Amino acid sequence: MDRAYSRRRFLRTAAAGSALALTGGLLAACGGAAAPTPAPAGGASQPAPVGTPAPSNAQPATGVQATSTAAAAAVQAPAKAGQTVVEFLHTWEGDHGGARAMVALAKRYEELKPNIKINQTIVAGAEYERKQLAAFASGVVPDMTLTDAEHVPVYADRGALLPLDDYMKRDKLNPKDWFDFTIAQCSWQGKLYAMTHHPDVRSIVYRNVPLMQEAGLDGSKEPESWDQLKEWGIKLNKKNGNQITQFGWVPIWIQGWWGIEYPQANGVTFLSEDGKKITYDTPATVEALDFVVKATDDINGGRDRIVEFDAGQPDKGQQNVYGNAGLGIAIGGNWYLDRIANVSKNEKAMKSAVSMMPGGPSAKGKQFMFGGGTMDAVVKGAKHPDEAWDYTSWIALPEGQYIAQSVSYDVGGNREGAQDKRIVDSRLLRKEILPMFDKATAMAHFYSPTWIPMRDEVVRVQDAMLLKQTTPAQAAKELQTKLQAILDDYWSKKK
Amino acid sequence: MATVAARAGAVPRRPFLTQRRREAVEGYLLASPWFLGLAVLTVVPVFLSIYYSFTDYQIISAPYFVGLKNYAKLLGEDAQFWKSLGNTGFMVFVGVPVHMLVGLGVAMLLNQRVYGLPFYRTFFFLPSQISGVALAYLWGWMLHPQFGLTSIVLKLSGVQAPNFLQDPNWVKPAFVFLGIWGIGTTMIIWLAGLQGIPDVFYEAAQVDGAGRLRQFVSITLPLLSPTIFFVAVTGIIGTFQIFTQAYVITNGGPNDATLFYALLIYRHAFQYFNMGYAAALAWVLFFIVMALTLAQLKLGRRWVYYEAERGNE
Repeated sequence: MDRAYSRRRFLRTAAAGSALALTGGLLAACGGAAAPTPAPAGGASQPAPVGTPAPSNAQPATGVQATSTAAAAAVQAPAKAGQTVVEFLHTWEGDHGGARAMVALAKRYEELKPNIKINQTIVAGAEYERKQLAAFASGVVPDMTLTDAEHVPVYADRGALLPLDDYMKRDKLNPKDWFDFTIAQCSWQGKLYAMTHHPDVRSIVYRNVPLMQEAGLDGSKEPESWDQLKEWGIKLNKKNGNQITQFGWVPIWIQGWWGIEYPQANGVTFLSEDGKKITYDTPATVEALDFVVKATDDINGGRDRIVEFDAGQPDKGQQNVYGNAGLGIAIGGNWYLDRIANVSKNEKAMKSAVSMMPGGPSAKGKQFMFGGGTMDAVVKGAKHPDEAWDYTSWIALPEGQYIAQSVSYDVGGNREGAQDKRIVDSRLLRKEILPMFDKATAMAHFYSPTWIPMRDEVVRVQDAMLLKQTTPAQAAKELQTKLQAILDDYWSKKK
Repeated sequence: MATVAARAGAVPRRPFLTQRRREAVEGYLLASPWFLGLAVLTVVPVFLSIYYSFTDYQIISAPYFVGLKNYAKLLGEDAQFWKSLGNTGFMVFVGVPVHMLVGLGVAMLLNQRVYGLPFYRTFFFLPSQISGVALAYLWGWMLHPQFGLTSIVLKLSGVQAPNFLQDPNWVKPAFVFLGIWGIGTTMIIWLAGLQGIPDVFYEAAQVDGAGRLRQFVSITLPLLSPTIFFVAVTGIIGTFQIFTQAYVITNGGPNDATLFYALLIYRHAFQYFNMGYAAALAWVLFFIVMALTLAQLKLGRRWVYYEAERGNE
């Protein structure tokens, strides 16, 4: 008996048991059990790759990102007898514009429709997408869910969302009443799958006019070229000994993925009409990537200096640094104005001027504006699709858009709602940025069901370029091959 | 009468639910929630994952059978598979020995008879109880190139600290270094192994004139071999699944330098909607870990010394 449980046998059994138990966890995770729940990516305070935006679940639309990882909460009174409960899964909690809008919208709608109860389930942070995924996979779905421009094709092409075209026709709603790009990003392959919650434009060039004047620059002048931005960026740098106290411009801190936006602003169109072919490796792409890498060296002294600079700021990230007047020029989203006007209230930043992103060397004289945003979608398999549509469309119509804007700095996607005088007159630079919503022509990402793996490839190659592990020409070639392989793999399975 | 006699002579029938059986039934009933959980959350998913590994399963839509396509793709076409395996291999074959050596070194120090030993043991053990995510955040700051404690210490020594977590050449060694923080658990195992070595061997060696190094090589190491074996096997298995640090601190970057195998599985399963492919990746990992473990068990026979077994022989 002693021999049967000898030390050797115990250790052997323990080792083999550990192998089974530990790898079993991974295997079980791939077999339909609950997903692991790691901490949010992009949440790392310092080492997240610079110039890489947070994953899309950390929506920047209100300028405030959700911070808790798994806070699921229901924020409502119980339904009364006879009420139809519309289950709404979204990600906005806390005290920021987006969250306030969710509360205000539901409150007003329930006043208008006493027979409806909007039951909000909030899952903040990186858990949100996993919660959506688990719901779609299990078939136990909410009636409607908040998503973003990047995820509409991801979910729509896999059949998770309900097409809304018939509802649009039934209710005689005209897509022209919304900014073109909001309808475009709510659609996939000719069908409408969502209605705008609020859109955003994210290649606004912000110029801190007082800082420019201090540097001897004419702050009222719009930048006409990338070279001009670079020149201004260098002039706006400030140092105290070896310590950088102010950067003029950080090209890789664009609000999006610089490996996507700069080539697009240099005239490149990536995806074919059917979304199955990508054209990444072009001379204009290489030219754009080359510019960013060189400008990062020339203005900022390279990637590591940006990491150091950012870490030394009281509030990190482009919008916060710009809001605190630590940055002379920023290319970012319209929600930066919320930060400037309501949070930092920095006197100099409040005197910002805005313009559209100028075209690169191959698109001289042109201006570009990229769009994104959040939208509400009715989920396929919803118990109450009609009621969910009614709430979804009401949010997207002028009354809902006004309510959302009145408690936030967001801009409505409905033209009439966005131009509401009560909002326009009370918001910093709103008159200047509104026309940009009509001029947004492209998205700051690949509009594809394979967006997520494509994004990761772009982020990786961006890193490699800044680390000088690859050249822009090699990067373009590599991305061309890898992105096309991702597309081919996906579309070959769809046959 | 005969019947009565027969009855009188018969052995009384034992009730079906004897004390022993009743206790067994009660035991199983009490344990049944755990068994149910094991079956539903582990056993069934593990078997399902075998099936999914032969399918294209995009989670939202139904899986469809693709045969060995997933396995062919990961072995033949997927550069990230090999990259992640290489990154993980570095942590296994560099990180595990480093952690073993440091753990053993600390355990030997804590095996001395000095004042305040319980305090020192607690001091070295405590960090291993910190959650992986908190630890990752903490070290993200500790290794910061400008403001991190490591950088400040290095600067005081006249050395310019590299950007540990943003430099592809430094990030994996930095993760190995970071892992040392968690040696507390293995340190306890080392300590138990060291305390299992009878003093009489050392006393005899001292009488024979053996120095400290000789005693370590000829007494400590052989008698510690079962512990070395155990720590190595479990360390390798655990390190093959390294995930948290890479997910929280670097998200696989820079340039995939910390794209570890478990992170690749996670991305395919829960971000890319490739659950079938992720299942295939997980099964390949399972076979790699199993093969390594079996090889270690086989090789262990040659170098692991079990005093109890030898004593019985």
